[in-house]
Amino acid sequence: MDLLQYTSITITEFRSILKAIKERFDIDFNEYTLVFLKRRLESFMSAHRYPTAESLINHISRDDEFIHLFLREMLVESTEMFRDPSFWRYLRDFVLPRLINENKTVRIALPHCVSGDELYSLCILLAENGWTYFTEVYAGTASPHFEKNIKNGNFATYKYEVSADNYLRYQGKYEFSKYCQLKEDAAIRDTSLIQHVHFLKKDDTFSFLPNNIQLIIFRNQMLYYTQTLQDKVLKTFYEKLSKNGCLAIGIREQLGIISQQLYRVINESERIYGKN
Amino acid sequence: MKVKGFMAKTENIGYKAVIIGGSAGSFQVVTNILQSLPADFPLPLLLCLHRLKHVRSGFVEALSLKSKLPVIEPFDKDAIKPGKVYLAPANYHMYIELGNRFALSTEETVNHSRPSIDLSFITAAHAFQNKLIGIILSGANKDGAYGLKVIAEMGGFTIVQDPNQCEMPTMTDAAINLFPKHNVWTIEKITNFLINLK
Repeated sequence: MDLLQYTSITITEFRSILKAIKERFDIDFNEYTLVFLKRRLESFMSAHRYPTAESLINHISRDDEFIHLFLREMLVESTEMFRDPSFWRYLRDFVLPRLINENKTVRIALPHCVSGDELYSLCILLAENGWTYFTEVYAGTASPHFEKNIKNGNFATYKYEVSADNYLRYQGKYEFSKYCQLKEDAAIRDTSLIQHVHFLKKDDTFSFLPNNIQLIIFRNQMLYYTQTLQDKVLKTFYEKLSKNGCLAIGIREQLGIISQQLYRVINESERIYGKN
Repeated sequence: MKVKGFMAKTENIGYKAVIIGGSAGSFQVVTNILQSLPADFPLPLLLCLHRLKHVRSGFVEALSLKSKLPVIEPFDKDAIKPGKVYLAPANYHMYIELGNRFALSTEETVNHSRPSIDLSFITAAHAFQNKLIGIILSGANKDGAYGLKVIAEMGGFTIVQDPNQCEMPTMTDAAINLFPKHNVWTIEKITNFLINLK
């Protein structure tokens, strides 16, 4: 999607579109940040040739399949695999060894997967260290499309080089090409990496997550949430985490004043927190 | 479309922020500007500079060396405060949200860039309207040209570094070609203008 191409809509029209989506598909975008969501929606309308808010709302009411296309374009993918290599190193060298030492089975949740980049990165980390059998990985996806795409191993070619670079900086055991094959017009990831992953259908409140989780990885997702929604979600994660469980958020994200009461800092620069 | 001249500025219409975009060849220019600004500079100064994706640290420190103002990479939802210099963090887009806050994003690259100058400029233009000063410096691609035009169209004050002075004039040329009414100034004139903001 080209973020510079957009069809301009008013705030009132923007709100009516969100209302139509909520009523028709029970997906609530009201607590997303305004500047981000409005611009992205406007770019979506431009790319799919909806000249007015009315034409989009009409389509929403008629088309059952609409929501799949809409989510696919509106939800933000992770940018690459092993983004912030030092984060993954810290996970490998400090967080996971402790969790594996303290628990018989370590439950890890990625509550919202779009492109699966974080999921594959995690599964590579686990496999390389022989931890796959000591861990249970749960991945939430907002629609079956994302789950299928991840299970098929699809990977955007333009992410290949930067991901291979990141993997090198992460100092993994092998070559990145062991996990991801670059063909002429596509890149395919080794799907055996994720065969043990439990896929779950994500809901707005994250109540789908199992209890007693030791590690939640939720990086760069809350960027698009208002403070109110952030606090709500962080409270849910708090309840889902086990005693001494950990939470990872994006490198430039932070916990609001309310959520700071629930978590303590484990690593400030890598944004890893422990449940209080 | 309102484009204010230099005189209009000296009357001081109560600007709320300055935003600067640049890439290759702009680092030295930004350093010089920061070195010249007084410790009581009255506005927030937002910087969107193209930088290496994977290098998280070092840039802020380098810019801080000679700056009398604190140089900060904002966290998502941080408030925008006067007298501080904000640098768009590596590998994030930096939006200006309503309510005088930053919002970061990991969306797709724009003009092959993340942070994208266009996105920072456009969102700043909507947030600050005619109370914004937008500046484009030396750079090697066209990112920022469209955003600077949007700032001008919203009534903001726009400046392009004189392309003759630029190490890489692609960015400044693109800005001027897209919208010829920008003020085209030397770095000395830009610095002088910023020092005298009240």
